[in-house]
Amino acid sequence: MIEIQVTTEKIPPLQNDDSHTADGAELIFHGRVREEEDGKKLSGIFYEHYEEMAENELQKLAEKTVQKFPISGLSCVHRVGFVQNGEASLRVVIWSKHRAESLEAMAWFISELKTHVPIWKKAVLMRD
Amino acid sequence: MEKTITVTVRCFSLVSDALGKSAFELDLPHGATAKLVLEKVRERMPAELNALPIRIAVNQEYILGDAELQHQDEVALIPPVSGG
Repeated sequence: MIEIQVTTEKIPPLQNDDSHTADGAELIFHGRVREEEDGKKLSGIFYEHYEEMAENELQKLAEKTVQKFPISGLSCVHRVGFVQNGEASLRVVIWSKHRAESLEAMAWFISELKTHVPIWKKAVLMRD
Repeated sequence: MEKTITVTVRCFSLVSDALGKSAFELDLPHGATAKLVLEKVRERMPAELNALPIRIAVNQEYILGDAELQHQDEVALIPPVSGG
């Protein structure tokens, strides 16, 4: 099971899902915008994206991840546009039978995302 | 046969900031490749960005090496990404 979404909307709270009865691990990662970067206070980050390509690249990356690691599912939501500090810009959920494969797959997926998916950050500084 | 082709160039992040625009059309000779587009765009960018690695996507697919372009292709110049 793969679910991919690129959205300008705030990422909604995750609903409890007890349907993954074969999986002992449900690993959830939230990437959140920090209030400080390089000693500067941020009101948030603006995420620019190549709209016609970003979601497709995320989908291809998710498919590769599911092939490369013994996991049963991957869900990824990436926010674009302005994201206020404290809010999540990324949520990835990975399901697997045991925790080790989810942890490994998560690290690989996020590292590849930061290399291949055409999304760019621009810090928005806090006004005094 | 037309002597030139026209492609749409899409630019992002540091590239669009440097050029002051995110999309424009470019006329090229028949047989032109994606790397020629990058060379032409680099000529318009400030020298301090000469070393900036820029990947190329044609019609929303990254290319490996180079690719001959067709009329009305979309060529995207993709500086290092930073999502997440």
